[in-house]
Amino acid sequence: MLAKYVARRFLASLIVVLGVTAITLALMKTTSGSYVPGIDLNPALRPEDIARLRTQLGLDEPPQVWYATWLWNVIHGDFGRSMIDGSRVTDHIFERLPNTLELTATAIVIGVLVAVPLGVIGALRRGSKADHGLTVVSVAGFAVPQFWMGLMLILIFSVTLEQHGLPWLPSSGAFSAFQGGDLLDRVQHLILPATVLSFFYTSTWSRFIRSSMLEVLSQDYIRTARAKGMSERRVVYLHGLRNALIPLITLIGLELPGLVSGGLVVEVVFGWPGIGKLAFERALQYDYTTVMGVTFFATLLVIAGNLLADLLYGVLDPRIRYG
Amino acid sequence: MTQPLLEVSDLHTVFSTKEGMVKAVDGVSFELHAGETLGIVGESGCGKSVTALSIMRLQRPGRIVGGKVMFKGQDLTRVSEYEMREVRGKEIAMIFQDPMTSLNPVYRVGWQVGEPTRLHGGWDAKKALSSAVTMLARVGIPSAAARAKDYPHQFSGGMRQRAMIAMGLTTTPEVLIADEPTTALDVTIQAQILDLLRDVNREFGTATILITHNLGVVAGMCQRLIVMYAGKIVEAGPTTDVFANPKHPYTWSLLRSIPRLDAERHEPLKPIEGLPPNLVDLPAGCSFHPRCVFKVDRCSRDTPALLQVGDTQRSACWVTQSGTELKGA
Amino acid sequence: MPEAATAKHLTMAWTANDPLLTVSDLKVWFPVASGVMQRTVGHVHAVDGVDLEIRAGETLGLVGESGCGKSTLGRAAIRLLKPTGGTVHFKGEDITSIRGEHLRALRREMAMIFQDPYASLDPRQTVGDIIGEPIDVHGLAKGKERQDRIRELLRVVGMNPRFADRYPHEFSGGQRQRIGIARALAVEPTFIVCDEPISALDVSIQAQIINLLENLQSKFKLTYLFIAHDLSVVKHISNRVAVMYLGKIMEVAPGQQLYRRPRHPYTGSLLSAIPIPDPKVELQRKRLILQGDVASPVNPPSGCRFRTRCPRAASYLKGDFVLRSGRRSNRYFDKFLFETDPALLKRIGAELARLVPAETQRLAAPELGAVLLGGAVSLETGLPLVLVRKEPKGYGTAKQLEGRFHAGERVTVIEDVVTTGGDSLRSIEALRAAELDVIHLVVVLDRGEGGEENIREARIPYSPLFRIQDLPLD
Ligand SMILES: Nc1ncnc2c1ncn2[C@@H]1O[C@H](COP(=O)(O)OP(=O)(O)OP(=O)(O)O)[C@@H](O)[C@H]1O
Ligand SMILES: Nc1ncnc2c1ncn2[C@@H]1O[C@H](COP(=O)(O)OP(=O)(O)OP(=O)(O)O)[C@@H](O)[C@H]1O
Ligand SMILES: Nc1ncnc2c1ncn2[C@@H]1O[C@H](COP(=O)(O)OP(=O)(O)O)[C@@H](O)[C@H]1O
Ligand code: SF4
Ligand SMILES: [Mg+2]
Ligand SMILES: [Mg+2]
Ligand SMILES: [Mg+2]
Repeated sequence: MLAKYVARRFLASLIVVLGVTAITLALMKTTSGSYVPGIDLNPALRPEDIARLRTQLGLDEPPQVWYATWLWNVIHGDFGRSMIDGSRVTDHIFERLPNTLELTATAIVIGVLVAVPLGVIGALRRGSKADHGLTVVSVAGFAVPQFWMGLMLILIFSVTLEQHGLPWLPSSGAFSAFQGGDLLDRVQHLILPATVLSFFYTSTWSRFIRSSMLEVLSQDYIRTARAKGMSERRVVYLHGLRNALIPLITLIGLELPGLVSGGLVVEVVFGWPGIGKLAFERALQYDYTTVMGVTFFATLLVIAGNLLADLLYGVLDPRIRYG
Repeated sequence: MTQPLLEVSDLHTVFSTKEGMVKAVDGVSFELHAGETLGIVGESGCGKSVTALSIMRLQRPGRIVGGKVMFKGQDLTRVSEYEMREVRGKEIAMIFQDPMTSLNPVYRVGWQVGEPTRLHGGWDAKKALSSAVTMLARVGIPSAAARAKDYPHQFSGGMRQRAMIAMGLTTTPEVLIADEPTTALDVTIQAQILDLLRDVNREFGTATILITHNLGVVAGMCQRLIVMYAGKIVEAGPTTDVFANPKHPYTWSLLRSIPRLDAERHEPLKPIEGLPPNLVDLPAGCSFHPRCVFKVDRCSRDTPALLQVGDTQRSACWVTQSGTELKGA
Repeated sequence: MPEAATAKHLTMAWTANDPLLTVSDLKVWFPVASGVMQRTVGHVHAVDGVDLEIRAGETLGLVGESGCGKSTLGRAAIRLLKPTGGTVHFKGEDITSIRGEHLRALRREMAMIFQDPYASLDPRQTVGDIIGEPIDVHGLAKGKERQDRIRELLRVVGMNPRFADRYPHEFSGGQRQRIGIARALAVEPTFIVCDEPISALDVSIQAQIINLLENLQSKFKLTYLFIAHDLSVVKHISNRVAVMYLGKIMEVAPGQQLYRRPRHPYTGSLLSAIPIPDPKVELQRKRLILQGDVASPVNPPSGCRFRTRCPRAASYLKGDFVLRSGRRSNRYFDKFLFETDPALLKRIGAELARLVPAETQRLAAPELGAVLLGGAVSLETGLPLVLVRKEPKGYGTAKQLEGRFHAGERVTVIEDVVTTGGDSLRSIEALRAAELDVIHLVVVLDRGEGGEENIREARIPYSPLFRIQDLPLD
């Protein structure tokens, strides 16, 4: 049953992947004009070289032909080579992907770990000072742009602290270029970008948990639980929380695209070598093959995340059975 | 008469709402004796559920602002929250109107039914589950051991209500409060559940407070009856006497307004005119006076108290208290 | 054109003495979709072959448990739903598949009053607009005339005409129901389907609405199909009452007759389940409590739909029922659901017969399932069958014997499914008390709930036919 469900979901996902990559290509084609910047301007290249290169890279073909070729190659496991540096697109992606996963996973985990208790407290002490405080913080979470927050954190925790001779946090990259790369080093690099990324999710999710919890606490089965004579804590955490968390799973699933795109801003601001940053840089350079490859992988990631969320939903909520 | 098991006296519970203070329970007093089934009837919003919830101290966001609930020598309105928890689900169990929503959808039925014994008896999961299975079988769930592993949505409405009853009984409480336990169920399932409640009462000797708006249900289930209107008890007495000879105009009119299955001829019903009262804005004097066909002048000025009328009944009505019999066109 | 001509012809042929509405073999099935592709995997047999006549000027009551198809039948009767099969005739005209202008014209003759007075009125419309809507749709009146009509309608349903400018939320349930009734009356219909018009109302208000409906009926010569759960209300208001169960009509009779002499076991059980507001009556009533729940309308039982719950199913025994091959997901029904599959029956009957000792003079079966199995064995062996009846209560106490027998007769007890063994022990006890000689027990064993240990205690040889868990799954 479940296998069938997964298979069906997988088929549906394929259609999504195709759609997304096709749209990406169309967008790049319409905005980029018809050449890769740099090819024309390179004084080392003669016009006939340029023409030869263009043909080689397929730049003169109509987009549908280019897409078909690209797809054909992808099906055969060949994502092509970057138009800029000539190295394999898959090498680029597999070099960057772990970094992105590290950042987003950390942000999700922090987000959930912080949001759930905050949301529960907000619900239990509705109208209290703590609740109002949380409201303000989460509104800030919505309102403050991530790049600005990122810059502020860099200013405070890297620049200012360093100026005062205090221990400071690195502002850029995933590890120090010199003698870096051990666990402590990586964690230090992770703190600032993960904070920014998780802040946004914490503020959304804590609101969500709060209202979901309030809703659950007004349900009849909570009254039943109270009538059994259990402590309020048991009522809330055993009978309330699990029900309140169920919709959060879907929400997280739905927000996964946001995690990739939100991750993009953060990756750029903190120079985090993830696929978001890669896509950003390469899109500016009209490196079609790389952008298409990254899009493909990012879409897969999102779909996998959604599927995971669905399955988790089924585990948490016995009423859902996949058919 | 022996000492009552539960004695509610002059209970007041209020809610603050946007439109003003709602006196949901306004000076309610009654006794429940061991082993008896006491009915509370009244239309929706008259305070039946809030009375029941106040006994359990689950009336939040409402506030108990007066009165006493004496149970085993202590006043439940005053004991600590901790002591109250020891009463809830152990000595007084409660089941609710809507069996569809009263069970937690994410836990297995057997686990939920066994929960009171884990909480109050300190039983381990295995022992609690096996007692839950026994109790589920006792309330008529076939293949109880297998069904205990089901989730609530796999149960029908009637089975869920049976499960709720089983859950209430695992700790063999002395009092069972059933708040409209059959209102959401089909008549044939209602008959099953009422039969079960009768049986439980007989076998375990559990005193039962049965809240309903169905006079037929009370007639077949309860030895004594309380009629509520607008937060107050307007009439109380042995069920047979109240039905045969109602001492309050509301009870009297209500009985004449419902069709009876065993009616021999088609006679037009005699409805109670007017609308049910709005608790935020109650009429002065007797709350029933705008709809009452017996009212006299003082009814709209002074509020009648619930006093003995006749040998066995109590009624809150100026007219019957003055000795007039209720008869009508 | 010729079609319209025929219709007209039929209309003329219809006289006021003929039924106003005739429903024949009406079926309304809803597809059950499942999975991401939403493939149809079955049908809800909401209405499944109903024949009914409603005479002009009468009230036909329709009762039944929730989900049995009452509303669906009511909607199909006035063509708010297109039937899956069968026909509906109104005033002699076949309206089963009329469309367009024709259907619109029909709408003027029919109206519906809904159960939920809260959900059925648009909260953003004023009362006047709600009542005026059907008037506008059919172009019945405009301007001042329209306003006058609305006012008149409000007066007719006992409301202040000034309320026309107010919104539904300003009114109580009973008042909203009056507004709903005024809306239904706006097109001056001849036929109204009242779908549980009082179920959502306070007890003290229900009588007001019942009386209003009765008064309107005599005033405007209306015909009602009155749907409700509550048989006492239906009996009060109706000339005749139809009892519905799982998509089929079980019995139709004048209310009084239905009450005095129910002809269908389901009617009897339903009547017995309705509480009577009189302790003197109620405390002496014999209760006939139905077991179990309504079967699924997706797979309604074969044969009589009621047989899965019928207290008298044994008397319908034709010998062609067999134990349902225990479906895991539906364990509740393992014991009680039987299917007509003559081939499988013959097999099980023959197997069982093999286990019955030769010296047996009579078979005894303690409960419904066993009776059905016993019937199969009887056919095979030719042995007579005694019923050992339980009280009509599942977890029952004593058992009663039914049927004629002689002391000392040797009996073999047939049990359907032994779970705890309690039933078997009780029936053996009852048989022994009646001085019968119980020599053998043939049982179907359920998985480990101690049943086998318990029947061993009875010290009677027994043969398990098979174990439930060994049955093929379906
Ligand atoms: N639109 C629909 N789609 C699918 N199934 C439906 C639909 N409408 C009704 N049903 C099903 O048809 C069956 C009969 O429904 P219907 O509403 O007629 O019952 P009813 O007798 O009026 O019940 P109630 O007393 O609860 O109003 C039910 O099983 C219901 O779930
Ligand atoms: N028709 C029915 N519909 C629903 N539940 C029923 C029905 N008949 C019996 N039950 C319930 O199923 C339970 C088990 O049924 P049954 O009477 O067969 O007892 P049992 O445990 O099987 O005993 P035994 O081992 O003797 O067969 C009973 O306790 C009863 O509540
Ligand atoms: N949480 C609440 N907030 C405000 N008013 C309430 C609340 N719960 C109940 N009430 C009011 O108390 C009164 C009695 O309610 P209840 O006891 O539930 O009536 P019923 O007799 O139908 O059980 C009603 O007027 C209801 O509106
Ligand atoms: S006190 Fe007056 S108004 Fe109230 S019930 Fe008695 S007669 Fe009617
Ligand atoms: Mg209530
Ligand atoms: Mg309906
Ligand atoms: Mg049995």
